[in-house]
Amino acid sequence: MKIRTFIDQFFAFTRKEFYHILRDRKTLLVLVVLPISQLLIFGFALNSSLTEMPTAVLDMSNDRMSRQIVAEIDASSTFKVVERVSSMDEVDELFKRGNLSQVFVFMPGFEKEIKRTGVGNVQVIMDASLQINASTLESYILATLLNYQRKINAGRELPIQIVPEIKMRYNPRLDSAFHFVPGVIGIVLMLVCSMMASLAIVKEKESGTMEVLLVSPVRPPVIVLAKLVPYLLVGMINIVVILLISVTVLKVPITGNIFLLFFIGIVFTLSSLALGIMVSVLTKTQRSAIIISIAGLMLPAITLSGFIFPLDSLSLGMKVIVHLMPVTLFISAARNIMIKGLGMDAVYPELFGLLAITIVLIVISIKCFKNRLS
Amino acid sequence: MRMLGFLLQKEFILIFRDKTILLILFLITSILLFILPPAAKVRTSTIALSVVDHDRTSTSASFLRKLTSSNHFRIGAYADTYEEGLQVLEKNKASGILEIPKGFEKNVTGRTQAPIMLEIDAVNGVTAGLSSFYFLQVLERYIWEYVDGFGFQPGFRIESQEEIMARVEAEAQAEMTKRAKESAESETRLARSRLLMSSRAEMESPLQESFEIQQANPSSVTAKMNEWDKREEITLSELAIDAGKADVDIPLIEKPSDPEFEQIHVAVDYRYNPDGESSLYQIPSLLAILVCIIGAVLSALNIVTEKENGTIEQMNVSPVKRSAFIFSKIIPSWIIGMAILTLGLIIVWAMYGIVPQSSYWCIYLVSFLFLVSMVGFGVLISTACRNQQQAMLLCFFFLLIICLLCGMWTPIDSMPGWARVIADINPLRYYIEVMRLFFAYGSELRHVLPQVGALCVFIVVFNSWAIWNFRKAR
Repeated sequence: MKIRTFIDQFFAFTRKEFYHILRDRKTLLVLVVLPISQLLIFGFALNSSLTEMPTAVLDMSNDRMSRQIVAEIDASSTFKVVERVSSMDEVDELFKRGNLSQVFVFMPGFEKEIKRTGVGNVQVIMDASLQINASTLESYILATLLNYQRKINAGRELPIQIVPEIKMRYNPRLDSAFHFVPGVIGIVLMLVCSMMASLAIVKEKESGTMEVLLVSPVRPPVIVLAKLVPYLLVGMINIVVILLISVTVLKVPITGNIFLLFFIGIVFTLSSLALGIMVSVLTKTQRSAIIISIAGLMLPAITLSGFIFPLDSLSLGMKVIVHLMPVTLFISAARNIMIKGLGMDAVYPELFGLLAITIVLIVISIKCFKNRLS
Repeated sequence: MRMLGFLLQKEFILIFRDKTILLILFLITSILLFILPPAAKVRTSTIALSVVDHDRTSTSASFLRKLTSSNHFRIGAYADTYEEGLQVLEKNKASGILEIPKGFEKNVTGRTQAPIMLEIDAVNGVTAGLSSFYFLQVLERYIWEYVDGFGFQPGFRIESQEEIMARVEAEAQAEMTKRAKESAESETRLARSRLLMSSRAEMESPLQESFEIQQANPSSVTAKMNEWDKREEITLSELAIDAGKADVDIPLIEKPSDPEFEQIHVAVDYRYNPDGESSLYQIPSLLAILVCIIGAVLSALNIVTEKENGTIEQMNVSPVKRSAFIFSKIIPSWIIGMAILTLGLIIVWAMYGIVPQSSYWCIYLVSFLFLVSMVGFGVLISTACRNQQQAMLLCFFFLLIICLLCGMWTPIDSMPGWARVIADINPLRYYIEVMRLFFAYGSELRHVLPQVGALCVFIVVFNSWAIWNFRKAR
């Protein structure tokens, strides 16, 4: 009997929520169009390859070899020689203006030194303020110079021959989109869902309709769960559209099981909605709910989710914190399924993590909601 | 002007009446600045490899040791078959599979082409590219070090004085035995030649004789070299047993003594990254983004709240000028934004010891300009919306674009053309540039005039657009 009333109440209440959402067609449209447009913008715009890095040359030698090396560097798409300087002071000035990435310094008599001792020295002064870019650029520089070295030593004997065969698994063309698109999907879904849900209850509080609910025989779990259902449906539509777009427009394949991905997406949407509902239950005004869901969620979602920065260099404590965020788990699972084509056994930790987080968040929301009733 | 004063008084009363907003802003700023910077410190970590060594010889072992001693690689797991190695990769326990085929040592010592396979998890193209480059670098070094240094084993570092002494002694001994054997050999040859050409030999000196024979028989030199190498190997393994350090011995092959091999060494001077963790780059950028988000959200919710509550009607019927009304909404956001910035600067200084290389007043000046432009942008959103939900969605849409295309996460130069245009009209991009220049490079105000100019343009555009867009009578 009790369960029966629970179900009846739940369906009645869900219907009410659907009316709410469907009445505001404009917002509904925005909720569907917004994630799509952002996915398209970021899917195309985010590209971590380094191109045309501004380079300066301080060539005090100006001989055949140094000129050849500079030409070689300028010819690569990674570097662009923008300036030829004549002193170190100019170099400092350029760095301080922020339009210089590295300087090549050739000491006087560069070629002579090579001819005499067999070893020539090039100095590279590099803006290392972002370590990962600096390492990448350094590797390009070394590769260019090794290439040049091979060229000038062509025909000389190598001591041993080890032929490396390097394969890029999962992403043979090193396409940036393969890395970013699952991340963008996770971030956009999470932020949109938690924002939608964060207003759900607080709006009723502010507009005074909450009073009606409080005096009605509807119990808190029913209110909270019924609020989730229509948004979950919107979220599911979003997932389908987003996945379609990432396959057809952004050309990121789904190599794994699409139903598994969809299922994990639903659980993830639910956890984001639960996060939003929790914010909604805990706040008193729409204003504070909005500030929390934008200012409080956007930056952590970008920084801590592994969306851009790889997570494996984090300390253990940070790793635990980071993996308590649903979006981190989802991005990792989405990459495993979409790009790597792995199955259930690779993603079950993420799936169970998401489920656990969702349940905890919903329980917290219901408990806190109850407190307000009394 | 007096009107503005009263309106401001009203705004501040409103702000301080609801202290939760201030508390939330304070908490968000401090919590985010506590947990985000450790995650944003981007280091290049060591790359874990799952190794499938089919060869299992001393050469493959020495190559692996060379690989791990480079600080770029570590061995996550050893696997027997490629499939096992792949399983390790799929469990995210390693980011690459290194497969050494059978006969690796044979190929190396035989000086034929020795293949070696590396398969990298390339979902993140940047780290994959970096790994493959590090691998090639180690390989190149290994090839040259294989025979570099007389009697050295690759990857085997003799550090202690005794070992060096022992090595020198072994070398000297080898040299001695070699000479002894050589002289013995030449003597036997001499004897043979004496036997063969006894008639002539009796008349010439033995020294000249041996010289002649050596010249006449140059092909014996290589044979002797090989012999010498074998001897060397024996002495070395003896030495290794004495030192008790080397667990494997490498069959040595002759070094091509090509004196004309020309090398170019690169000395890289890393600047502006004193701790090697990019803190001076990332932490000020995070602070900048935080100020941006909070400034924009606060102001975007300003006028629209009055609209939703209906209090805007009272404003409409009062004799308040619309610019005065807008400014009364803007100025509190400026002040809160600057307070957030101050709090952030204090946390950054206290927690991470990060202080700008240039002066604080420059930072405050540029931050103020940036805040004025962002608050103008927020008010513009506020005037365009009818309720807080719309303002939230618009704000979210634009803020995510502003935050992700600001050049902090991916370089602007590698974006497609249309995205670069978006980045060019993104105030945050200029502000982050300036913050970095101030914090990491020690630039002065005169260095950042272009960025300051851009911010001024944004101030004029956003604020005048907001005032124009706000019509009192509606």
